[in-house]
Amino acid sequence: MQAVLKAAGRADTDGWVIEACRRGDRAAMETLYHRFKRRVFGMVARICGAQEAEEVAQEVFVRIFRGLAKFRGESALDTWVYRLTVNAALSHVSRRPFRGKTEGEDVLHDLPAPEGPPRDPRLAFRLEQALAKLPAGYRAVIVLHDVEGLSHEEIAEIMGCRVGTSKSQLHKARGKMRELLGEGLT
Amino acid sequence: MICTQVKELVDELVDGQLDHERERALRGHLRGCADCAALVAQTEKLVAAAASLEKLDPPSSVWAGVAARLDADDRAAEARPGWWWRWRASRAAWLGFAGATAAALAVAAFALVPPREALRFSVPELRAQRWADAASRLDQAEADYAEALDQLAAIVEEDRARWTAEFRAEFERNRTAVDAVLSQKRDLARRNPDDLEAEAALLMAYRRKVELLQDAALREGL
Repeated sequence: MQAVLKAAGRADTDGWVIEACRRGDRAAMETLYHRFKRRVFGMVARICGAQEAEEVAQEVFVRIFRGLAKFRGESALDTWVYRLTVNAALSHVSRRPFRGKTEGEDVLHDLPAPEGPPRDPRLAFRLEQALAKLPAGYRAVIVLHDVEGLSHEEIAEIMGCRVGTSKSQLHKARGKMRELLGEGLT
Repeated sequence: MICTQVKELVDELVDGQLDHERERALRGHLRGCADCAALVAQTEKLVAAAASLEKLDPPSSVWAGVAARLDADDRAAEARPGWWWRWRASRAAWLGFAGATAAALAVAAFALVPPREALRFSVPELRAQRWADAASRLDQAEADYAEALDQLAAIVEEDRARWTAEFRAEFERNRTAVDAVLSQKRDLARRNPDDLEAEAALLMAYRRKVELLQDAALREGL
């Protein structure tokens, strides 16, 4: 029940913020930016690499604000934002020349991070490195499912694929990650 | 349960998606299979580590860059002349009108040009006159299309700066292809105004170009 009320409250807030953004209200835009900045930037940084994350994240937010005029609410605002983010990140990766490994993987840990639960920094570092070596599509599904915690149904909607495809992509991606991390996981 | 089944179900187990029966069977297998137990343990560690990765904060320059681009949009909007805003307000209706006009031109051309059979049996003088009439109608149709296309092209030109590089490249490729077909169909139709198929193909090529520009003009904001 609480979850339903929370979702209803979020939908009301979304409606107000979206309308204000459509009118060009800069304060509302900044509110929306702060709500999504970590998710957008984190996903972009992990799919495109830290060095290009700033440029791509800017592009995503500009697309969000320009595209809000056309947002009809057929999907949740969060899902729509994720879809724009993943599309922009994958499109950016597909346009750049192959470099063998993602640029910026070594500086991902220099980015500021808020306080969070205790974690193993060495494993996290190796994980980021392994993630950067995955094909972009695998990276996207791991980030959406395992890092962002989205369900396969949500991922299918975001990436425009079937739920089964999302599951099989995740299965292959995790297999590749286990292979890359090897002893690091034991 | 055998090892290959465990390998297929490991994600569902770790994500808590397995039903009770299969989970019990799988855990039973793990007690006697060190390899599968290691696979599950590795996957659990991987998923836990991924879930606890840092939530990255963007540098303040990201919002600064977004705001700067939004400011540039606002300045461009302020610089637009009054006629542009009036056009903008009636954009959808106008674009629909342009499409309808193009369609009406195509229909009228078919309706007004005499059937091929009638031309085939005309005396030479009458045939020459009808050729001249057909050429004149073609001139008028082309002039009407050209006017509509010019206005659409002006709208599209206004929006180009806001397109992504990807969309701009795709649009240019399509426009080049449509223009090449249009040029070819125009040559064929002009060579023989009596050829109804060539005329229909030319009008269809014009229609394609109208649709291309309409689609581009309606692609707002992205």
